[in-house]
Amino acid sequence: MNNKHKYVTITHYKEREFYFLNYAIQTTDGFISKEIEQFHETDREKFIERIRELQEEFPNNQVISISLLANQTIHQEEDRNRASAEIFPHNFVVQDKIDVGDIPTTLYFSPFAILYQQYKDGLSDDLKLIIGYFDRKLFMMFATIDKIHQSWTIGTRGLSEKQIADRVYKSMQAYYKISYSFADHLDMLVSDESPKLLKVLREELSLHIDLTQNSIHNLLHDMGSSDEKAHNSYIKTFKKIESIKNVSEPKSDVDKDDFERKHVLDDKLDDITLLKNKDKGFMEKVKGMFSSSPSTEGGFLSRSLTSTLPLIAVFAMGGFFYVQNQEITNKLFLKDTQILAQHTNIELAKVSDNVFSAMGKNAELKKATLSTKNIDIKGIVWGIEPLKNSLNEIYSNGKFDIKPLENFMTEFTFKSK
Amino acid sequence: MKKLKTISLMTKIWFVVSLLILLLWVIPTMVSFYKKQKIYDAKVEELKVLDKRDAVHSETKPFHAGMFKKDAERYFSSVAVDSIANNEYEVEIVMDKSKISTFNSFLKKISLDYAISIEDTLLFKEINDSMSVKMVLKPYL
Repeated sequence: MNNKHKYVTITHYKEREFYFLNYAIQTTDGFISKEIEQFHETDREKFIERIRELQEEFPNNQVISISLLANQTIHQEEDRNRASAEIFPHNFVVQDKIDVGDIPTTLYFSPFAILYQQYKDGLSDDLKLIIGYFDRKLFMMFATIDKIHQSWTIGTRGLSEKQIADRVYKSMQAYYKISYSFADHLDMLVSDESPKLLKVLREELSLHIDLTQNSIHNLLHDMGSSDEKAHNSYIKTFKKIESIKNVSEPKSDVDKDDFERKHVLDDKLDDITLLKNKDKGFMEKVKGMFSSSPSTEGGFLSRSLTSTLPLIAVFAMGGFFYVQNQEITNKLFLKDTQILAQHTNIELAKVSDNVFSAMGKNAELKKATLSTKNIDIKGIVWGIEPLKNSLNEIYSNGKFDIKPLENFMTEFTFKSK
Repeated sequence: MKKLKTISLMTKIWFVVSLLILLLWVIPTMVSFYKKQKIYDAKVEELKVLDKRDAVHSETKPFHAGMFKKDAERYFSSVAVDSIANNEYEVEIVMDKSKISTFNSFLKKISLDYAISIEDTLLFKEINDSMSVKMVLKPYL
């Protein structure tokens, strides 16, 4: 059987500064638990990442945790403004809110719910005190077969075993004053190893105590093993666990589609909102933003904004190249202008050089207008023919004129065509 | 194909619009940029060939009348730079007649040193055994 078809319960809780993580393969004969992993609270991201990995590895999963808050109480009615879980036909355990933060959790149990599931078969008309010892807190409840009568939570941090026993006794006394009933029997579920506490309780309360010791992980795996128990969760599951378990061992790959179809059909849409908020990873949220489904992550506005991301990216890229293009166009224009100017300057220098070279010692320049297209020069000439020849070599068909001056000198003018 | 169907209509529309903009605007602009970049590189090489300066080649500076005058006075007896219309400058350089070749060399490098072009006319005139040259400069930066 591949991992896709296995039904797996992933359990986690925080005790002091550590997160504890475990998973178990659920089978029809019970669950097979794997090794417990421990993460320091500074490695919270790694811890969450590990849960995600397990969820990906085993798509058929429930991620289960326990609420270890002290302020959980049992009421006769559901409180819709707070986190409520029905643990008995007319008893609801209530706490202010579901406080799992961003840690993936699909089922979330109160220790009272676990206690009830563990001891419900032993309940009778006799009043029983059921005690759960989790994370150095005693979760106590008086129950008979038809209901839970009262509940208490006692913190034990820093207290000796005798002090704890004393508090339990006083709690029982207080209840006795209210109800005139004293517990006939004590059941105790201990998730921490504390044989000394048990001994002291036995001595101080003078009552027989049936002790069960089990780890929180095992208790949670058990709570996730059936719909009946999962029903006690603060978070309502939309998965039918029994169905998942029944189809978790398909006969062949041919059954795969049937399996998936059944899984989908079994999903209930009611109570889905709470689960969604707790069970989705980052990538799922991103996918949800692009999805057309109205139930997926992100509202209309969020999806609208996210779906414009490609457009924004295209505009950003286009804008970048547009600016670069404008810059290179300007630089190219400047370089063209400079090259043209340089060509003109070189030509002008060449014209000037040629004219003065042509005159040499045969003439002296008085005035000249030089350009790359034509020249117009005027000066005094001593060697008429050499000057005329030299100028005609540079500018053929130019007009060369001479004019005698009064001081016996000769003036020349030359205009190119 | 199945995944494509789950994408919302609005997202699909944005994708199509993005694709059109990419094809009609971004890619042509990008191609134009790289073409011009190639031409520009060729122009830089062309200018290097035209650059015959002996000294360490300095970057082309924007024209500044004062700096230009000071620079030219290192070679010639007198330099006058006057601003005229159309953001142009009339420059008169007076030099010894023997310095004509220096002037020609100066002419070959001023557009490499300064972002200017010279109007295609030089006016030479003899003044008291010296030679005066007038020219019009037009800064382009």
